[in-house]
Amino acid sequence: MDRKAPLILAALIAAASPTAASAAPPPNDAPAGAAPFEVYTAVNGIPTERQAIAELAEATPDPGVLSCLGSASFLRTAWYRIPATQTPRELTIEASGRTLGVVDLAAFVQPGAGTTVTSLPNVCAGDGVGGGDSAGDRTAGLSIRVGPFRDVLVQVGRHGPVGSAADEQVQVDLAEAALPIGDEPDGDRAGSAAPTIPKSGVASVALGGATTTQEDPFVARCPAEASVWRRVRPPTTGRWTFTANGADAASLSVFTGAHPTPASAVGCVDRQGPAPLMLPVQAKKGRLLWVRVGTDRPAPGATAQLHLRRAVAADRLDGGACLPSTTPATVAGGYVGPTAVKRANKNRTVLLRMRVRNGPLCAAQLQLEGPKGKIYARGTAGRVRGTESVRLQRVRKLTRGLYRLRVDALGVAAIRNKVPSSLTFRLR
Amino acid sequence: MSSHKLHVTRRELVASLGALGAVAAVPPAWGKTLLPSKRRIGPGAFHDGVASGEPGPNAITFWSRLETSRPRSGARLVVATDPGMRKVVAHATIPTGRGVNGTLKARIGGLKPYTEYYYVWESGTGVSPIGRTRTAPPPGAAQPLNFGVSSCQAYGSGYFNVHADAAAQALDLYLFLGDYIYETKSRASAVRGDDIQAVDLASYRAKYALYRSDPGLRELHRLHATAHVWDDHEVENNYSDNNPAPSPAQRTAGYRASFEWQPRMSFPSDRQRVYRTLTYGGFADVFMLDERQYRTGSNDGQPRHMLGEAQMTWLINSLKASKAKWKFLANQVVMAQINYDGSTNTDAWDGYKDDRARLLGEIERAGIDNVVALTGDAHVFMCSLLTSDYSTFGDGTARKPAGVEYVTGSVTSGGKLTDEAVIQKASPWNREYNAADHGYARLGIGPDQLVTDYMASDITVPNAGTARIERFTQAAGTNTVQREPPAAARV
Repeated sequence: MDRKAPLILAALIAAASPTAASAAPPPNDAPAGAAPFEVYTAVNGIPTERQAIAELAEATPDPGVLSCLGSASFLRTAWYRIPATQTPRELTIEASGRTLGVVDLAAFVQPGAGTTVTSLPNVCAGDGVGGGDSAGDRTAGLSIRVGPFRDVLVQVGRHGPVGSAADEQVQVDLAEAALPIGDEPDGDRAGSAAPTIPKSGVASVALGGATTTQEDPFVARCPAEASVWRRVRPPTTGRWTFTANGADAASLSVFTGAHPTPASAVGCVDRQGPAPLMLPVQAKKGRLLWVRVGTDRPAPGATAQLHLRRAVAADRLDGGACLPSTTPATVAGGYVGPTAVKRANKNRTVLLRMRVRNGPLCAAQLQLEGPKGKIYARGTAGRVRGTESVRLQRVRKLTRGLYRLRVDALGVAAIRNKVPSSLTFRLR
Repeated sequence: MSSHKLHVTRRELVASLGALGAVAAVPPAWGKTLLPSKRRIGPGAFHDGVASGEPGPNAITFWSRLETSRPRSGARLVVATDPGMRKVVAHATIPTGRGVNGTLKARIGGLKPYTEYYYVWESGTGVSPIGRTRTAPPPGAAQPLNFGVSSCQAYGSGYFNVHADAAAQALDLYLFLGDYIYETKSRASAVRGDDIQAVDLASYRAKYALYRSDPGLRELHRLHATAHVWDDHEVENNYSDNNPAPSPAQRTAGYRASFEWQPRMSFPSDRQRVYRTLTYGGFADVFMLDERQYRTGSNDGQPRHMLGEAQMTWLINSLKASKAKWKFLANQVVMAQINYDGSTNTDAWDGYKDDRARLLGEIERAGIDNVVALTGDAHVFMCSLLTSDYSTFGDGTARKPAGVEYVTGSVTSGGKLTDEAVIQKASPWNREYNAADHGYARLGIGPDQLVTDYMASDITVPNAGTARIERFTQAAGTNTVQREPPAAARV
């Protein structure tokens, strides 16, 4: 072979490659032509995952299909179908290409096998969602739990200017895991069968076996692999606060309207830490609200306690985490109560108004040191931020003199540190 | 710039490339309500330790992994100058998600040159171990350096005791030269069980998690900045021989898992590119090479090339432009011509003689001194002189070598037991050969000399001690080595 031969060979290969041949959209350019995921071989074993190679350089957008990552997303798409099985399953779909350009991904749960319904994307991944798309390696990935006998359509897309054929190519991986067969929980679908929250405002929500269905709108801020729905009509207009207790409650979303849609979301909160999720929303008297409890690994018996009450001033969106500031916190404030010792001792507790700068304080331990350096009251606080009232348990009788609040709390790396406190007061 | 807010303290903070997230295209009805307005932490535990890598004089890549069932989460990275994490110099919330296996990676800039830093990752429900790392010296700085180097750590073949030893050393950088994982299951007779046959994304990820469960490896990553280049077993044994041709899906899965689990940033236009330069003050440039991904000529009808033209051109130009005293090639497979008792290894540079002659010839013609190949793959401790033409090289004393190659042993993988005398009779430019021991190399890099110690440990029992078994001294400008008598070298 002379020295030019490899170049000629390379040119012939390039000419025969899909790059050059794909002057037309790919056959799976539209949902009706959705292609299957394919098994592939490995030299040293048998992969359980399946793959698809999406060639998007000549692909076209999908008129009439809601682009769940915004109107500039899914400009060039290809479609894949994951056939129904007789058992529920967890599907994980991941997509990446040669560059760090993030792939647009959407999953549409079908009402049955062989159907093609693309009115509502149920789970999406891609630029702006805030997960793997924003990570160092910048990829798109989603997981979804679906019930038996349901196909899932997968939309794979690119946005932005068209790149080279190689840069537009997307490798899509599908991992499929069967889940135990069980009854779907009440409210698995957002329909008229979804239970209502009783007037007491307290509901125990079973999450075990929850899935994502075709009625579930994608909520990027509060994703979950599956969800369960409740309905409620607040009795008065104003701010109402939903809370969800239980580690299996991964997100809490509220929608309004006849059916939940992406545009009818009024708020959501995503789990960040172990404490209850809190979601205050504005509501109108008698108007239907859809409440969605998201969950990721709903094992049998998993439940969440859902509470609804009128909001109070301190209520705020809360994902349940306490992350201390990297700037050392300080505490100020004062005593709330009678300053005469005799009257103060009538209470078993000591009420303080704490002002925390550079908060929050996490897992704070509070000690009220008084005359002769003795400790007169103690308390703990899981999280204190801004200005809050804190009640300490009195451990001995208060006497006349100067008192100072001693505080320590978890700092960076969960190292317990003393927190400078200027909260002092005098009892007479 | 991203909509994601980065918190900055005192110093400029440059977070990962992921800061480029786009939400601008979202229609108002969705964008305001539904897309995340800022980066947030989430729940999760840090079961896989922490790591830092590829230090520059002002920036380091930090790594961890968040084990969580959440499809999307995040953790806060805090960097401080004290182990008590009180003197915080930077913090950032770093997103992660299902698409990256929960891995967390951020390149933080604005750091001081050649300064020790401590770091920790925090989620909503957990805190990582506190890591330690160090930035590189500033360009041109006359700063002596200490590097550690290893390769070929088959989990099943033994305990990574030498990693625990390296963790305790004062090192500026630790280099992994490939075969960081082995894709196959361990044999029934293995020292440690490894039941994972890595063939797809999930199984490659599981393999990394298993390897990172080794306490020595975790400690090494926790305490030293590292840099990694892959060899074949990060995908499959000798996969670049195309015999049979590996599926693109398997290659991609192996590459992707490697990027996810190493503290290494991707090039935006080529996420799988690992070849790059690390500059360490005035004494060391480290050229990280990829000797697998771009190979041609093995059963594919193309001419045989090891590096590919783009990488070869980059390497030659980079060597010519380097102002560093020592130019290290982070090189996977043996570069010197070695006759192993009647056979050569054509998977190594011996199978790519034209490329070797071209590279080393360019080095010789340009008069570039102090080129040092640090090599893995062979599972032996070895030292050889390099030249573009071995046919006339003899024992390497009649002509100035192009450089020196240190094959830094294997952490655990078994090597080809051959007598050193047999090797040196057929390859007289060889200065040492030892396939019996396992360990790593420790380099002391100074203005006048490079001192290379080979460190070895018993791999059959956990927590075995590590001892020095060889010492080589390479005077600057000579491109040759002095080997301490083995008895004196063993400490």
